[in-house]
Amino acid sequence: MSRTHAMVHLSEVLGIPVHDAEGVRLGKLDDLRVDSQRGIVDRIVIRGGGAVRTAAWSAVETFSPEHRRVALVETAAAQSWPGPEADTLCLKRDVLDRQIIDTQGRKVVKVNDIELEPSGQSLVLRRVEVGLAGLVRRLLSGLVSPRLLRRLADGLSQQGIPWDYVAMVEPGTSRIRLKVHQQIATMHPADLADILEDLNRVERKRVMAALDPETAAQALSEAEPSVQAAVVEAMHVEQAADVLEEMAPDEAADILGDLPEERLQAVLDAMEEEEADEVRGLLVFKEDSAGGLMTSDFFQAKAGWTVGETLAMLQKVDDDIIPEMDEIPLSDDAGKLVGIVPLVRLVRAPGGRPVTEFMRRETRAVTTAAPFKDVVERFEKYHLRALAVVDEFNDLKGIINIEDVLSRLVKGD
Amino acid sequence: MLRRALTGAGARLAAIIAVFGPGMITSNVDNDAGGIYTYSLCGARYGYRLLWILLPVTLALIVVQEMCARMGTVTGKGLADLIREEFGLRITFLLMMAVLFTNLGNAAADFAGLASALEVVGVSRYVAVPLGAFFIWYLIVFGTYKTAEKVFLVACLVYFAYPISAVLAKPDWSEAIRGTITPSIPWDLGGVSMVVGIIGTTIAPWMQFYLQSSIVEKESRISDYKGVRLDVVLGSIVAVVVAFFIVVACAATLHRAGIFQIASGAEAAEALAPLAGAAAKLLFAFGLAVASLFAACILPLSTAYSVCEGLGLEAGVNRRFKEAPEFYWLYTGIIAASAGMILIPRVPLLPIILISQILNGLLLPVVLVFMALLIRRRSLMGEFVNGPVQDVVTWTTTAALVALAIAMAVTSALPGAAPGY
Repeated sequence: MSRTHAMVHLSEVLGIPVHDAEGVRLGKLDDLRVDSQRGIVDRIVIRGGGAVRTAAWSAVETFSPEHRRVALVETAAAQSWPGPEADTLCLKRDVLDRQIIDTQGRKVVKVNDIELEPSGQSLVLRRVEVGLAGLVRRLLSGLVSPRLLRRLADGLSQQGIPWDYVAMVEPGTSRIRLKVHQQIATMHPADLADILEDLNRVERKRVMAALDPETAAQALSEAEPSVQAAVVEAMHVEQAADVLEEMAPDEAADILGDLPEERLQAVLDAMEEEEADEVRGLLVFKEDSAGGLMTSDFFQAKAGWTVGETLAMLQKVDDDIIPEMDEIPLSDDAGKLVGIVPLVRLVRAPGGRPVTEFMRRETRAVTTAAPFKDVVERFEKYHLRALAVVDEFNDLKGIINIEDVLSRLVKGD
Repeated sequence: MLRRALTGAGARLAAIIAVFGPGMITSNVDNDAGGIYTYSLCGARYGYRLLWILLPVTLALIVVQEMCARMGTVTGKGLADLIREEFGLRITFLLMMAVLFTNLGNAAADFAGLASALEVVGVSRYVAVPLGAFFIWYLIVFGTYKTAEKVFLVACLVYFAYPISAVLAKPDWSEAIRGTITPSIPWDLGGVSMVVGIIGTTIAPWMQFYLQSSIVEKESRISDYKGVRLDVVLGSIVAVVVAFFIVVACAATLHRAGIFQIASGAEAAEALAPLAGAAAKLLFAFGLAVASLFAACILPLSTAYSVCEGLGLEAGVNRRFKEAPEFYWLYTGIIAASAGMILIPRVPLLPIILISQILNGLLLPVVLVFMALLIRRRSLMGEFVNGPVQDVVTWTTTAALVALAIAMAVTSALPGAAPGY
């Protein structure tokens, strides 16, 4: 077994003649197949004489890019190859020249070359090369002597991304998809959103498909409005519905409002009845009015409850609305807004007292039709963090959070 | 407006307006200095006789541009990007270098067009070219795609100058119509190269790259595809209608007066004055100036898009200078080089332009074949892949254009042919 000990690049090994044990030429090295779980080369692909053959890495006797020589242990080691199996990764076919996500640098890059390192009997996938050095190596390999090329490339910027931080955008298979999922699911949703913005339609669809609905929803809610609609449009209807169910209804309504009519209805129909109804209720409001800003998914206490009962009910509240609960609106049996209880006062109040004793009459609520400007002014004037929204009959309809106001201000439409 | 205020016809119209732009801009920019000169020469030399060519040219233009629009909308990737992913880096790199060089020559021709058009009204090229170059540089570097597109669409309106100057020239409309519907080719070197030149100037390689990149940058979605297609079809028709009026204007004046040879678009404008009045001359020159400046902006832009896509670098008018430095430096460099070339005294401009024209002709077949191959791949196009009928249309158009492009490269290299500038 004589194999190279130095780091090699994929561009340096592709095209090397492959011989069998008797020295008969089988063809050229066309691709390397990788066990994506372990990140090592497990087969080589040989193209020659009009046929494509494959041999296990263990059957490779000599692997020497320096002498441009690859030889197999025995003749029978190479079998004809029907083509890539569904669950494998071939470096030239699937990685080279493709877009990948650099989960460490949090950006989308194109792969110019791939670095492999011999380690014991194995050839390990180390890094993908995205810098100028990789480009030059690719362009000149085979045209100038390997040694000169190494010298040239070593002088240029080497930008490598360790294989562990590479997430494939085009995960063809379930196993690879699992790996992608593990890698990108750990990223911050805001970074994921940036990446989504950099990808094209097909890639967005694939990345979203690799995420669980909750992570996908978080990433989506961080993206620019124009990107949000494009992403949802690119997804399968069922999947889009799953993701939108995870979002606050007002956000879901904002996104759906930008979709073509047919698509909008299809996604709503695929959503759970309850969530879909909430979104439908919000779709009638103008986007830049209080109704368009508010979320209808919030905790409200009933005016007849005691402090203790209210706190008990609070235990059952969904996690995702907790951040928006500095103040709790109170409504009577008819659903009319009665007042507001700051959470802090509630916590410090004796449990047996009626909750209404600690509320203040809410006179600052806005109606659903109130324009965005009025909403902002009210937040600023009363130093609010949340604002109740009622309809013309004073029925409590929703809550606007400071965060919704801020993001609308920043996006400045 | 309501989130769902628009329904039915209103919503459809809004959707079309939203994606409108790239097709109209690409086709119109195609009537740049070189194009205007070719059409003027065609009218001066052959009168109304060759107008019929514009009909098949329109069809070919629509077929080719529709392919790009479809690929851009469906894959969300530019043409250079797709070629790299499907055919490898080396081929893409060679293609990019050819695109770079060709477009450099084309952009120089456009700055020359701007200079000569403004010299008609007495503005020195040493004022016109630097100012024009600065303006288009500023527009792209400090603007977003939206603002740039608005400026481009307004620039498209300038092409109305040509129908007006054609009407001022009082052409023989019945002759013009006869020339449009009865095919005839003057079978000599000049005539054949004229036919080839017209087709070559109307369908250029940079257009496919630019159209697809700008559709991608605009983020047109599949649900908008009907609007995208309409944009392309209308743009192609408008561009050819403008070409028609340029030929008619020159046929009615220069050809009738026996002026069969002109050396530039500006010379055509000068020659119009005694025959059709000062207004026609000014309109013609004004159209040429704006068209040249417009193209001098889009060609470098198209090049920067293609090269950056092909090499996997950040690209796009919507990005900041810091986010896509290579893209903006490339754009800046091409403008500086092509504008600078025009300002060198006694620069041998014609050879530069001729070589880029020949390269155009050689590059087009390659690009078209790549496109025809890409659009057949189901893995890329999904349900939008070419059907059997579309495939026949695509390959027929491609084959015809490949033959013509090669003919053009050959005839450009021969003496006595019509130079395409």
